[in-house]
Amino acid sequence: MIVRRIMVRVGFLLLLAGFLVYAIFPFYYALVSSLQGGSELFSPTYLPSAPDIDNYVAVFREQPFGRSILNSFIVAVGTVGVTLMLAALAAYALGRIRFRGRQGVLLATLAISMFPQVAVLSGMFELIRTLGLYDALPGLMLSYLILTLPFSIWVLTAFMREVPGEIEEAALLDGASRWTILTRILLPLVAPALVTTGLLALIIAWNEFLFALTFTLSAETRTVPVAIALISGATQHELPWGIIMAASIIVTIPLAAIVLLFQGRIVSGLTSGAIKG
Amino acid sequence: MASVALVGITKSFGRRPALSDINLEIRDGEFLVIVGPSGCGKSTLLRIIAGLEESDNGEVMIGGERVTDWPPARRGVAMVFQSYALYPHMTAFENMRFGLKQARIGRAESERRVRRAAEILRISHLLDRKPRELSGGERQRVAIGRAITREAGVFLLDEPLSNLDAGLRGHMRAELLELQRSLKVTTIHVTHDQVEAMTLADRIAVLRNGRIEQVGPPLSLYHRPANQFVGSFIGAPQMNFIPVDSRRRDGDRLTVALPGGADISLTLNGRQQPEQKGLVLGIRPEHLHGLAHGPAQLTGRVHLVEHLGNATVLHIRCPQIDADLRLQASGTAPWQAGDEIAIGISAADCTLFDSSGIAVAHGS
Repeated sequence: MIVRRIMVRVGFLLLLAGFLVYAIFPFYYALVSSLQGGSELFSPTYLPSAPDIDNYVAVFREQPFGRSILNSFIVAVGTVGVTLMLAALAAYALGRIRFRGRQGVLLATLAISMFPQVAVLSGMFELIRTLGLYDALPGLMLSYLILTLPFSIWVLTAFMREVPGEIEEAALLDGASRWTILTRILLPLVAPALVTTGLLALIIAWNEFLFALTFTLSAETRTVPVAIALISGATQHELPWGIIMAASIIVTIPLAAIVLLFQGRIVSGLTSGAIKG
Repeated sequence: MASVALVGITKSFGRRPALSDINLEIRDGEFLVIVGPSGCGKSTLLRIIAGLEESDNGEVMIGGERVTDWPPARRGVAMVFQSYALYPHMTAFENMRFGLKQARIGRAESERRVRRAAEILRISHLLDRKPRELSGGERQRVAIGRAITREAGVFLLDEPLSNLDAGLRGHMRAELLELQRSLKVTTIHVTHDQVEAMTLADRIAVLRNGRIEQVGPPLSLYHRPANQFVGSFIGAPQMNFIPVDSRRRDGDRLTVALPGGADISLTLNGRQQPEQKGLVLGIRPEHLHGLAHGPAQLTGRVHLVEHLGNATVLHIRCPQIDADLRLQASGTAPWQAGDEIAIGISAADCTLFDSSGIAVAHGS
């Protein structure tokens, strides 16, 4: 019996270790590669033989990478802000007010999120040029709303519906306006959902590549994913893997940190209706 | 403090009528209980008074003003919901102050009002807690406190006691009554529990299928039900209904014959001659007596005995009567299941209903 129990335990730990390696190894290998010089890269090792930070210096020296990070930051934060504001307003209407066509609007919202990015690319390009937002950060924020709004509206609508109607009616009797009800009663109650959707929107906006590549031209407006993709070596035939890996590490760390920071909130937001009197 | 008047209120949800032609006046400072079975429209009526629901027709008057088209907050009413509807993310204190904040009442004044309400309700030590850290009874108090701080002219209570366990409910009922007496605020209380209605109300309005069946003080509804529904709904154990035949009329006195043949004489309450067929005599369980000797008006066999301690309820089967009779005897009554029993009726406490269920004659 005891032997069997130990076997099961060991098996489980092995399984866990397998998952862990699968999830973390690519990141680890990127880290190792980023710490190695040009030619060492081609003799694979799992421990850097002579680690140095030349690659990290090179990332910032050879292009305005700091600027790219700042751009990404502005775009991501701006996208999250606009997304949450619009989604909260939409979710209040869709979740709590009865009107004709409500279901239709919800389904249309869902349908929009099913279009592949490429399908809307040309139309979006026209729109952005018409608005004079080509090669500008607001253009990116605008286009990212297509990716972030649908799921944000759906998640927040579901959460708003969970709030008992009597609470809103009590607020009405207390003399609260619709705006006060939304900001002082409903939003605090769906805060976990706000954090969750906000983080997902942040990740999407931070990592987005296709729109960023299409709608920006100059190095000054590039976001990080585009900047990394456009890193080129000394010659046409050389890809500077070390520098690319260093850049990847630099942009992954802040995201990982934020996600870890809000981890508890995400879990509670995704799993619970979270509103009990 | 304000009076409330409802004039010709009707409401339907789609094709289903919920309220039809409700006319009701509630005096300033009165405690009115609206009682009825579930689905009778009583909560809808309360929500119409609060302004949370619009009536199809009719007017709502509060304090002499026509408020039919006013938003809830302007009407000067405070409501306690069945679920209490406290704001889960605010402390008890913030819950009670929220309405005052919306009304732009100054910090010092609103704090004073909250503290005073908390003192009245004895929840001063709970003000820093959030709703989830409070028991059912404490949440109830906070919900009432929220109404008190608003200093509203009218309290609307929607089954406020139904989520409490039995012991606490009795306790809160007494407190609610005491509170209403001391604040002297017009109160409209909705419930399906006739005991709550009897104990709390200055006047009761019995509602069925969206219509008011009778309005009046508790005891007058108990002793003088206007129809069979009110008779059966008010009072526990339930009123007995015995089919009787009309025998003879002598001025405003009408004599009817019980199924066993015994006569009972009653006073008609209208000039009209009631129809001969389908008369039903309503008599409360405590007005039937088990007799040791003497002339019985009904006889039957006890088939079930419920001992309540202070009283005993006998379920009796009589020949010629379809339903069991319920007889309430003293707690030490000697009868057991299977016993033959002779029953006397105190005629003075009877009510006679015609075939449509309307009360047409009373015992005295």
